Amino acid sequence: MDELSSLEQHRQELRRGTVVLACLAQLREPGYGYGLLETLERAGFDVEANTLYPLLRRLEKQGLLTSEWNTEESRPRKFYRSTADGEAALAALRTEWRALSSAIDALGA
Amino acid sequence: MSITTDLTDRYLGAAVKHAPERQRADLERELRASIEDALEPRIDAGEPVDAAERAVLNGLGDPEKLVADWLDRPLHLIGPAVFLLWKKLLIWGLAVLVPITVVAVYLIQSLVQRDLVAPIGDAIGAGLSVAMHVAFWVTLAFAIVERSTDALRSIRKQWTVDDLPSRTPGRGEQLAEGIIQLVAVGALVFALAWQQFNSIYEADGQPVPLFEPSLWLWWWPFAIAVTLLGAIVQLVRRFDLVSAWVNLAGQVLVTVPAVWLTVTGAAFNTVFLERLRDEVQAWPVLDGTAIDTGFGGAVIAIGAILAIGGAWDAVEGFRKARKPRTVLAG
Repeated sequence: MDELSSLEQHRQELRRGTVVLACLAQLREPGYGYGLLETLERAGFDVEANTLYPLLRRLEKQGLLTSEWNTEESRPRKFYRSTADGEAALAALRTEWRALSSAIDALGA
Repeated sequence: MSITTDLTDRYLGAAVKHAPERQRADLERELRASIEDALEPRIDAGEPVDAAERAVLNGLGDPEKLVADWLDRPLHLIGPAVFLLWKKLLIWGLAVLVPITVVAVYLIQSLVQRDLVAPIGDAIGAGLSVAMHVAFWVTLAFAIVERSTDALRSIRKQWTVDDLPSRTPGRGEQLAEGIIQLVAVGALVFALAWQQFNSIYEADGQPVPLFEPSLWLWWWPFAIAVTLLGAIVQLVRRFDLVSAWVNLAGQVLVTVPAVWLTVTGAAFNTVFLERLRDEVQAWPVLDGTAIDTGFGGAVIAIGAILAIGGAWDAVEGFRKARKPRTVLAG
């Protein structure tokens, strides 16, 4: 039982950083909180609403995302979109991810 | 138009309450839209509104925590960046200020009240109050630093190997300490013997010693024996817990009676004090009260030095015993 929960902890830690990468990749097209949550879930990122929403705000504060209210539809929603800095960060994170992935493969071989 | 009920309103109210005024409207609007977005598919699938709402809000969790994450606020009083510094300062503050307060209050109160038992309560009370002040103010300062990014950055210090504690004191250091103690005992015995036969005052052709002569019957032999024993233990043992406890016991056995004898005045020869008093009184500038205050102050000062010195030495013994031993490989 303990072994299982510690494994779960390692998995969560491993995934934490990848959510940022996924958000930046997905938000090259404008998206709103719940919509992004659904997209990420479908893509296999098992992320909680109370993790994602604060994360979007934080990325916006860091200048990697920008936001805009869309009031055209019946329900006004805040849409987030990645900035030029966000694009650069995404490219850097992707490179890092690939490097890590091949490094891990090399370790296993 | 809205599908939400009172429960969502209460959740939003509880959430924005913790946000700064100018961010509230934006935060509430965004959070409400997110909740409604999450509710819609559940209700479309036939789930009752209140059950769906409960599930969605439970999923978001404590609103105060959500907003703290949202606004990037720390959810701890003192974080890992400054925790160790906080701990070090707290321990040092307590270890230095509390004993000094307890001893000083006890000495002063025992003199003022002319009682040795009642001041114990005063001293403990003062010690507790100082401890609480130290803990509160140090913690408050660190909680503020934790919440100020600039202060946090400036206080952070990169750890280097220079910060490692020094090695266990070696055999040489231990020997030196034992020898210093032996020399001190020798000097004390010599000084005591000397003052018995040499004095600035004489009575009936005999010198008047500074210390009460009857103390030779029990106190001086006892104090010398205990100190000598302590020095021998230092000589034969390394700095370890045994020598620390022996040192503590020795300090208690010698320092406590010494402070008591000093503060009550029992240590001093009354004949000597009277002669000294007469001589000082002949000096026209000083009146009787000034002389008494002067004597009282001097006695407290000597008692305080004895007490603090003894406490320091006892603590030092444990500090040395706790230092990491050098682990020899192989």
